[in-house]
Amino acid sequence: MKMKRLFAAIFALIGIFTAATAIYIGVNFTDRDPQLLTPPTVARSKVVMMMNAVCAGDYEQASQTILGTPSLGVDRDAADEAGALIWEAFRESLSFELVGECYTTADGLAQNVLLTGLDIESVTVNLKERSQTLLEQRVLDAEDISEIYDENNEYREAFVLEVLHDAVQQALEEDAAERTVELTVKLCYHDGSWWVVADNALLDAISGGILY
Amino acid sequence: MEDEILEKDDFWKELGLDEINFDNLDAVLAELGMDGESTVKSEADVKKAESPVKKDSVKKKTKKAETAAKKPAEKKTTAQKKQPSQKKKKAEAARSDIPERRPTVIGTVASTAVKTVAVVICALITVSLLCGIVLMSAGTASSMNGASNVAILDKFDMFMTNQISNALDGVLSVEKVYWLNDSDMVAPKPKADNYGHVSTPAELMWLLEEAADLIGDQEMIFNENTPVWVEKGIHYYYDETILVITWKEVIDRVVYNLSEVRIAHPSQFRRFLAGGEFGSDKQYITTDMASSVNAVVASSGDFYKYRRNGAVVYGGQLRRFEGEKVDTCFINEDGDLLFAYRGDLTSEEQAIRYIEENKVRFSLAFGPVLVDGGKACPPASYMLGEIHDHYARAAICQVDKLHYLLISACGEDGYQNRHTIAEFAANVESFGVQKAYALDGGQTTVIAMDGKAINDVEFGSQRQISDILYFATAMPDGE
Repeated sequence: MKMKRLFAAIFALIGIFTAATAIYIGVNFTDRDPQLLTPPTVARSKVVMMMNAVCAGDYEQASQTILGTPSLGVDRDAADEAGALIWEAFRESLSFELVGECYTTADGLAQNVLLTGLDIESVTVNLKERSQTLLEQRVLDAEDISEIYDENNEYREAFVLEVLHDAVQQALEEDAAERTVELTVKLCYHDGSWWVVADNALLDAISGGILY
Repeated sequence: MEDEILEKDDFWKELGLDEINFDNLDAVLAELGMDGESTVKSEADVKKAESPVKKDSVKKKTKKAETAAKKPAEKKTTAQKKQPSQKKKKAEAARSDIPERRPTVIGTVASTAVKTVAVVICALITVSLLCGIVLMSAGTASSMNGASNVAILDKFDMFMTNQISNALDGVLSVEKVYWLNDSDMVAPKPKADNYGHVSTPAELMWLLEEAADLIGDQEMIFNENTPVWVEKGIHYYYDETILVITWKEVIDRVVYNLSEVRIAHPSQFRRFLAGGEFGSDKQYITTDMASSVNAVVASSGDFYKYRRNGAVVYGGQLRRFEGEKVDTCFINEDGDLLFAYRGDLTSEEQAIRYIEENKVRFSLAFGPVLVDGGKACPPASYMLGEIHDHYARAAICQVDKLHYLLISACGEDGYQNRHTIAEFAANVESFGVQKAYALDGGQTTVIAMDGKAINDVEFGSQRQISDILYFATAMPDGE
């Protein structure tokens, strides 16, 4: 009898305490983010999957991890040879590193990532000077003037493009610099799985900083 | 009551039972063993117990009923009413006899655990509801929208187009550079309108300004203070690839005919062998050969066909070699004058190696070297040119990169002195040239421009010779 009453008293106290705590939390912490006891590994692995695909140049695979599975428009080569050189160099230069663990946000989860790759602007900043110097040199070195000028006495397009191609090649070897961007990759839970939410910062970073 | 009993008696009698006395029920139950101690008895025992008990009780009750029927019903007092009936007392006694159930350890723990879990669950639900957070996310629809298509490469192509446009903007505006092939027999024709003539240097300063791009940061020998023989005037030719200014100065009563040339490309400094090939027997006067190749300005050469001295290079090939007796002037692909003094090259193989290493295009074989490194260095003796005598002299000089001076020193009008090689070299040095090489002098000496001889030719007529050196425009015909 006494034991029964004792247990009953204990549970009553626990109940009162729990209720009071719940009310206190509910009143004072309505704006606080939910706390995860353990971060969901599935969400983190989604980020890894996307970044691996981007670094491998497989943007189609990367788009499969993004909410809405948008087309990233990297299913062809760059329009000109000089651009193709730079884009290829950019793709091959990409690497990433996860920073910390997944954490909660108001809309879902987020994972910080450091993305390192070729700074495309560093390649193009001196392109004009390099092109000019190379053009002058090629003109002097040419054996036949008809290689350079057409019947209208204008520079041949093929000649100029070749000079530009070589200028880009030189710039990639001598001017290229790396750029590291800290990204916050956001995730949301939809239709039974985690998805990367592609914002402007993420798209710009995986495009070499030329999008926005 | 008695009626009921009687009715009941009839009932029980029909069942073969006597009257049941309910007042003795407890006792009956005790006798039956139904007193709280659960004892399982056989049906037979139960029946045995029932049947006699029932009979006895019925009998007792019958007797009591008869007794009661005879006596008037007695009313119970209040005290009697308050006192628990015997039945109740016995019931209590029976219950007190029943031992209490004690809770087991397992039961206690289990019930405690269940209660704890229930409390926790309730608390969690309360918290989540109050915080507005749904922890059970399965099947929860996201409020975010999917991303729309992004044409990354399209934007990259646009970016590159702009970069290329910027890169080529300055490139394509670079002045075009024209040059000539050594294999071209004839250069582009100079434009007649580009020739001109003025009287004083001041009248030509506009030309130096206009040709600033071609001149670059080099210093011209001709300037507004040049002591020009004004009566003879100043001849010039200019286009984007060549600037020629020709004037006369009188030094020690010797007329120096000077033609300062600035070209855009080394290929404009050229050599022509009469007949168009080495070893041809054809000979022509300087002005005719100059006109035939469209020279802007030309000078008589070394008259290579006349003698067999020096190293003769033409079209990049060594045509003839003799390195012991005369100095050779090589012109390389950069348009620079390179001197090989007599004895420097002692074998044909060495000469060939020298030609290949220095990318020599053609050579002149007369000499001597007059100025080297900006200093006059005429030799004390020389095989050719009667260096100690007073003759009309000719020289090709290099002032700077792609910057030359053709000089002929002879008589004209009232100035009929001539110079020795040493005097000639000293005057050549005074013009500020870096290198100077003597060409065949005497009657051979001619500077031709616009189809005419600039200097007075010795003995009044030009000698037919085997070669000239000349400067041509690189501007294509029609440009």
